[in-house]
Amino acid sequence: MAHGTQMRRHLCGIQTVWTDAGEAEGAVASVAEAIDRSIVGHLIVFFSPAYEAEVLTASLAAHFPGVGVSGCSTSGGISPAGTIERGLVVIAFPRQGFRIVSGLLTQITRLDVEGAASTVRGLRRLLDQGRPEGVGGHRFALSLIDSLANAEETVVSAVAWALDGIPLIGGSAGDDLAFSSTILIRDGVLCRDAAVILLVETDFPIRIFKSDNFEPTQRKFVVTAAREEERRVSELNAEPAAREYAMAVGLDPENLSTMSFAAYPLAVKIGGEYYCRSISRVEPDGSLTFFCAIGEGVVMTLAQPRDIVEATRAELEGLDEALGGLDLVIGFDCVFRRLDAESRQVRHRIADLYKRYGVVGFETYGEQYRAMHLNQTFTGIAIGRAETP
Amino acid sequence: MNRPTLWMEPPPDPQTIESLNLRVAKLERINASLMAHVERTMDQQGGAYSLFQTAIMLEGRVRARTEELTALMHSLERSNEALQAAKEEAETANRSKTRFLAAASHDLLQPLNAARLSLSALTDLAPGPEAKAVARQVERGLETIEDLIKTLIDISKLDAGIVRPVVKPVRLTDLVAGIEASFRPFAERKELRLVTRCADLVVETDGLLLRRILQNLVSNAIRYTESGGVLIAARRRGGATGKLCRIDVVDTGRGIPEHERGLVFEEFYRGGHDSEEGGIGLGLGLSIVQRMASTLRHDIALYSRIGHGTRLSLTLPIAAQRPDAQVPLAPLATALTGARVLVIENDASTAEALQRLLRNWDAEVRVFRDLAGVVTALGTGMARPDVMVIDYHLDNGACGLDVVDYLRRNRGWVTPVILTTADHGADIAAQAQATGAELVHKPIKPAQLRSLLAYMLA
Repeated sequence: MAHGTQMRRHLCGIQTVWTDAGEAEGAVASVAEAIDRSIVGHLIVFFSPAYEAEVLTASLAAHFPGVGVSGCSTSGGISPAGTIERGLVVIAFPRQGFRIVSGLLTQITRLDVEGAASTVRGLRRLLDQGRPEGVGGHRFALSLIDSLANAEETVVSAVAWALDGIPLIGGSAGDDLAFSSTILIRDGVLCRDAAVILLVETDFPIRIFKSDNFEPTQRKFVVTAAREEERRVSELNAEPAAREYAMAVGLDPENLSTMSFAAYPLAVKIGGEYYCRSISRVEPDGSLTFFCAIGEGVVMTLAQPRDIVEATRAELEGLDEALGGLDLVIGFDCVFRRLDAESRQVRHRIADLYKRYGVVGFETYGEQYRAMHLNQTFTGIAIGRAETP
Repeated sequence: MNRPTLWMEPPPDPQTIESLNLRVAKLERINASLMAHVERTMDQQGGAYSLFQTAIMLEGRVRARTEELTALMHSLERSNEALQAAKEEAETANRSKTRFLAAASHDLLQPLNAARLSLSALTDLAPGPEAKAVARQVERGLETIEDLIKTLIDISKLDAGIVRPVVKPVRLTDLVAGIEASFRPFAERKELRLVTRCADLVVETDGLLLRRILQNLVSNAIRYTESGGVLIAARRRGGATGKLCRIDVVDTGRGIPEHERGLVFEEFYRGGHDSEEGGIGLGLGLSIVQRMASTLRHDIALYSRIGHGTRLSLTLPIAAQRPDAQVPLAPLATALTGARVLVIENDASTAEALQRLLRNWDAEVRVFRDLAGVVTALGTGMARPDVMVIDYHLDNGACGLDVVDYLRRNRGWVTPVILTTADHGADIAAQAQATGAELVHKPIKPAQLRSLLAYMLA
């Protein structure tokens, strides 16, 4: 279904635009036309990996001179009109009511934790310095991380350390489940093996959130062999990992797909709660690669999804109530949740919810919430309607 | 509930040694992995997974702490609510206690008021020196009762925190002389000497409370002394520049046995034998003294020797300043003759006493119980009064000020008003002030009433 280019103007002054234009230059041009560029201070762009990233950044620079840009490639954009499979989702922040600074962490595969933390502290200082006299807004941090660097846990812990209590949420960049190239952009620069960190201060009430929809079963696995730096598990219960997993869920090991991983997630229990550890793909040698850190000796529990529509509805309703009316939600939704919703034929109902509550964002390879890197969740930040006095 | 199980293919044939060996080998591998993991978890050098684990544990700890604090906050809120409710209840109880006391004092003082007024009239009627002396004694007895009632009320108010002492410089000689004069007749009746030795000192205290303290001490000393005398002595402590003053009340009574010394400050304690006087004395004396002294932060000490006597010592600070100049008394009135005085008083005996007193001063008096009486009299051509003496509390909850209001509104008479009440509340004082009335607390002292009337008529 073609959406064309649509724009929504929110009460807080944020304009959200989404387009399914086939190529980058046309997409940016139609976005630039749809919004009031005069009030825009910063753009966050979530783009389809099908776009030529160089063309995209050049077009953005041409149409939005002097405007800060952060963004990443995705496995699908989320817009109030539904998922954008090939296209562009843009969140245009106004200069009024929002103050944004951004930074880039590079070579995250070998992350210098101290360096990353000091970059983030620098961002905090920048935000402090630019702050008008007597203004004390609500702050939050956004992270966009290259998931193919297998480094989210390290990045998130370094960033959260330096944030010192400012809540962090974010998503891992995607590439339509090809797992070959995820891309980050910041102010005209294209990066891989990197993370973009934004610090936002706003006059509007905010609330970060995390929602999931699975529950543990009785089936347990022990990781008996793994290459941790690659997040790759070669054995579960002293058997080839893919075969052991497939047998447990009753599938043919030869036919395991992302759909199977979405339907039968694995979880670890930490501090009395279960956290999904999603499998990204089966490797030719029968090992399983994950979207998150994994270690030998880790006990995993087979999980099963609960009603995703109900869980999502409850979360958004709760936010709506807590904030006295939602203006918009910037969300990071695990790509597996979309796949699972699709296979259960409830995707339109999720889309309805996202439309009702004004959710924009993208489908991720992992979600960040405070100091945690998570899988198979829906995290994000909700912005309320009422301007705080 | 099912026990969690490791997912494994069931062995094809559980009986064969080969399959069992296979299972053992697998379990050994699993065991080794688990042991390695446990060891790594103990290790400080964490990998990426342990970072994730640490993040969650921290998150969990923060959450647990938040929940704990929230629970604590809720429980504090609840106990705050309970405390608030208890406080309100206590305040309500205090308010009703105060109201009760005000009402009780009104009822107690009303007949006393009437008696004193009658006595004053009687003294004027019977000019013989002997009659005057008897009248003076009765007068003093009434005064003592009045003081006792007032003390009880004051103590209750002190306890309820309603009355706060007004501390200012007070000249001791005047105060002690007053006490000596009021107790001399009692001492003389028991053939006791009453001696004062008072240095000219100015102390920092509440004059009224100090007077009550000393009255109680002297009254007790006289009551429990059969022969000898009572000494009131006040002197500076610590040399010529000392900052403290000690007032001693010393008697030559039977003394207080050691085991009773702790008890004498308790309510309703009386010495081993009742005084032969039999009259007043509820055993409240020293308990009241102690409360008042502690309110004033004056130390009180007791020394006693059986068969020799007792000394009670009060220690209080010497004032840095001289006392305020005495307010000169209003000149005695002479202009009451022929003045029209309207009296509104619901208590028949007080009304009668007041009427007799005022007539003795040659005033023209009209007395009514309530507004209705006044209205009737107005209908029959009552002349405009020169001054009104009005009781605040009339029958059936009516207020005396209604009469003032009625006359102002219907006749345009703005007449000076003396408002009488036994209620010492601030409410009535405020109302009196708003009406422009002079407030006189019952029992009315004839001399005070007379000078006030003269002043208002002048």
